[in-house]
Amino acid sequence: MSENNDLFNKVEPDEKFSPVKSWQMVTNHSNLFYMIAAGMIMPPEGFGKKYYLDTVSAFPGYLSLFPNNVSQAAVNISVSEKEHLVPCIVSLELANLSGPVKIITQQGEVKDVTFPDEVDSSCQLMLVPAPLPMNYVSSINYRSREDKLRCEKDAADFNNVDLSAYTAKTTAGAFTKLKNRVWPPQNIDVPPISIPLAVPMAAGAIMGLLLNMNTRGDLSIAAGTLAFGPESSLPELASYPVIAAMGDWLQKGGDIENADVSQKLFWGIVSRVAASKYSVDQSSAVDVAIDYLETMSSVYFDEKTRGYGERLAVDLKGILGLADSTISEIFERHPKPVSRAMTLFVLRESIEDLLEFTNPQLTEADYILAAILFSAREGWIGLSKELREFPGLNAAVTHRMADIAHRIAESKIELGQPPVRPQSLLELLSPETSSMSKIQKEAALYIARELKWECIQTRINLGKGDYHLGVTTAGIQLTLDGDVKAVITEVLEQEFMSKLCNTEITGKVDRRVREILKVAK
Amino acid sequence: MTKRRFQLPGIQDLSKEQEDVRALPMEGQHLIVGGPGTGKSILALLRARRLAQEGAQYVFLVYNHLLNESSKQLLDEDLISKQWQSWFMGLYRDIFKKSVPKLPPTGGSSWQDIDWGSVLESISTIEPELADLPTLVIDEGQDMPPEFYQALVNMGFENFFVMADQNQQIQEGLNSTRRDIETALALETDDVIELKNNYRNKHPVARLAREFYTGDPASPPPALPTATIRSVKIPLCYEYDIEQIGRLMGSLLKMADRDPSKLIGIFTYNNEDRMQYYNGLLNCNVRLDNQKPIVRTFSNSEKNAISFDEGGILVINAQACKGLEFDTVFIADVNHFNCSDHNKDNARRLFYVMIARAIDRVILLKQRGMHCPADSILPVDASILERK
Repeated sequence: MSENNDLFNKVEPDEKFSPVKSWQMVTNHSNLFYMIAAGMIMPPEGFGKKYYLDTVSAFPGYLSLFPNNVSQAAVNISVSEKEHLVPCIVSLELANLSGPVKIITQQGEVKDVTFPDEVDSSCQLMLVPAPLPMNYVSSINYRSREDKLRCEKDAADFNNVDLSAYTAKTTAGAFTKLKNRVWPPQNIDVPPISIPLAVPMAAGAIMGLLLNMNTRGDLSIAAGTLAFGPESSLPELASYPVIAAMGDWLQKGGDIENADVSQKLFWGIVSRVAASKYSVDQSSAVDVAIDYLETMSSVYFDEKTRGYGERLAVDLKGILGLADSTISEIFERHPKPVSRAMTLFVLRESIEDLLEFTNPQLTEADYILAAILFSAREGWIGLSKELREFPGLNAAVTHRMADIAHRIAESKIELGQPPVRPQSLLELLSPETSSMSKIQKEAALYIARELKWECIQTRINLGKGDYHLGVTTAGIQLTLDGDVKAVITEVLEQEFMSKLCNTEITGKVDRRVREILKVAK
Repeated sequence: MTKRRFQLPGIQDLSKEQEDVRALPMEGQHLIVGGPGTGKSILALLRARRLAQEGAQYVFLVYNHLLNESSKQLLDEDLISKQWQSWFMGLYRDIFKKSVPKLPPTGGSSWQDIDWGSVLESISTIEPELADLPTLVIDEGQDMPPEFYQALVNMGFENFFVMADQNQQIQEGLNSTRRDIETALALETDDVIELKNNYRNKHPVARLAREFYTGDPASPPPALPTATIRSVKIPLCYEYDIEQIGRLMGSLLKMADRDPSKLIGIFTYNNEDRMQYYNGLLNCNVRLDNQKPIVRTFSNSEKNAISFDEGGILVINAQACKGLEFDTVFIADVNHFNCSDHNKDNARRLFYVMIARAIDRVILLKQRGMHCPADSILPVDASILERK
């Protein structure tokens, strides 16, 4: 830490004040990787035990953003903890951000202002309440080509760090611009603020996972729609109150009001499992969930419900050992969706395991509740690159996670209109009326041809007249008078939709279909 | 059967101390010491994978045939992996155009150890090769003798990435200490990276393993994760009636059936027990949701192919479990393990190794009413080992 403490009292000779073209955050490559995986630019609490000292710890709860140029001392601090750290400057595009922030002026004063209107050229550092969504990142700047290559190789060791989504720049000069500025700024008193991360992180995983599941049926699509837009009112969920309570849970940041017993029970487990990720106690998520079932509060639950929780806890413990039961036998004894979801939760560990699991007794609702529990356990950071590849998913989720965090923290920060909810091909190709639109038909035909599905038919519309059917050595020939224009090749919609429900379509075909449909790729 | 594959870690899965290892330069001599579950094997696999991606020559050396198979099968990419003795004998043959010298067999066994004295003498007659030698990534490096490292250095090998844990030695006297490896690789003690935290074993497993730690200060036991809620997966010592062994087999199969991707290890004291469990499981028929789990066994003499890239049940002798990783470990039957007074430390070391193989759950099987010398080393605290 620098000992110079008067540098905020005067304008440095190497600084030229100009309008802010972009806001810069200084960090190191490991923290950056973590933030990419977590989907949020966030404070140290979000890193578990893997936070390396950088600029985000200087003012707890705030992100320190430099206008245009960064201080070299901030760069040095950000790689001071380990020799293997690589400095990175993250450029942010804040055009959609608005709300109360703090600025530290050239005179070393802290001012409460509203961004963007009240941030002027006196700002040397802006403190924005964390988190910000990763889709605000306009570029990642490296000191050298070697640093960039090193980071790319490093990122390849992890299953959830995708650097390819970000513009990379090599700008050595950017790392040494403000040579005389100390870091952190001295004699600056900013009261810390607390940032809730558990619910946003779980919410991100719920969105991502439900979207990846939405070829399973209409209920999954409705649940996914609710996850992305918790204020929505979806009649499809009317018969599924526990799933429908997700909207309230997301909006209230982990609490639900006017809930019935099942809703309280299920979302109580989800809240505790999500919070356990950020707890110093390293008890496993399964232990946390079962402990909740065993010790349900008499304030919230009646005796009958507590009895149910205790019995379920005993059964769940049994199946983790030498129980003499198959999963089908367990499901037969436990027909309720919450029980079945908990059974899967204790018997399967990873999201991939859940996605592969099938059992004829399992309903779509059971599966959705299990997916929510798994999401709470893993968080968005636990979703692998493969599950995040869904077109438009990353931007849509990271924006919403940050938005939920600010809503819970009541920071009054507005992040702007969220990116549109990504949709699966099943949704995009489902006809709004009785039949597909022209553009949907075109996309469907493309899929059927590419995947060689036997659901294509060719229709020839003929007017009234005489037609001659002739048999030649080459086969049968239909001879028509005049010029026939109405030859239509199309998919048989019912067969096509049935195949689409049961096929995972990714990569080139998915991208091309979205091009045809003119939606986000 | 459901596939099990090596999965790249998430950024959140590697700790700072593990990152220190991952960031070590691709060249040079590196020794990483840590107890079971500290992530040595995954770091070694990541290093091999990175070397392959960079087009560097490397060989991944492991202690035994089973480890070689499991490493190869778990990594999706082609892994140049060898059992260390086979690899060394091939290398020696290539250089000297003759077989590696061996000591006469001892103790009625046909096994012949490498005559390291003669090997080192032969190597001293040649000029060290300085070009085109691969980087050696060595897992369970404590299991190779000090002369092995000496021979490699004398041959001109320069790039080493060695993972070791002194407390996992099963055959005392035939292995290298941390100091031996440091000396051979000319490393200062400060150059050695110690991995101190257990990431593999769930807390209850790690807690039980700690009961059997024999206290070698050169390689301290991994720190325990902190957990305040009593776990639902406390290790269990399960007593069964020998007449009901068929029911026990059924329960084992149902456990495997509840998650076919999981690998269950049954570690036995001797071949007789091994075959009893293996045959018992093969011949047991119970109603299951999925196809009957694959039940496999392995012995050094048979060297039959073992698949580690799918779930099921693997029945092996305790001595063969080193370095392997299972979701659930059964130790069967604990009654038969030799825990006489003069053998207690060896028994503790063996239990330490066996228990630390488990990621998630440990269950000790014990025949009811039979004498059980291992009782003298099993913890009595029910919060560490439950009894049923």
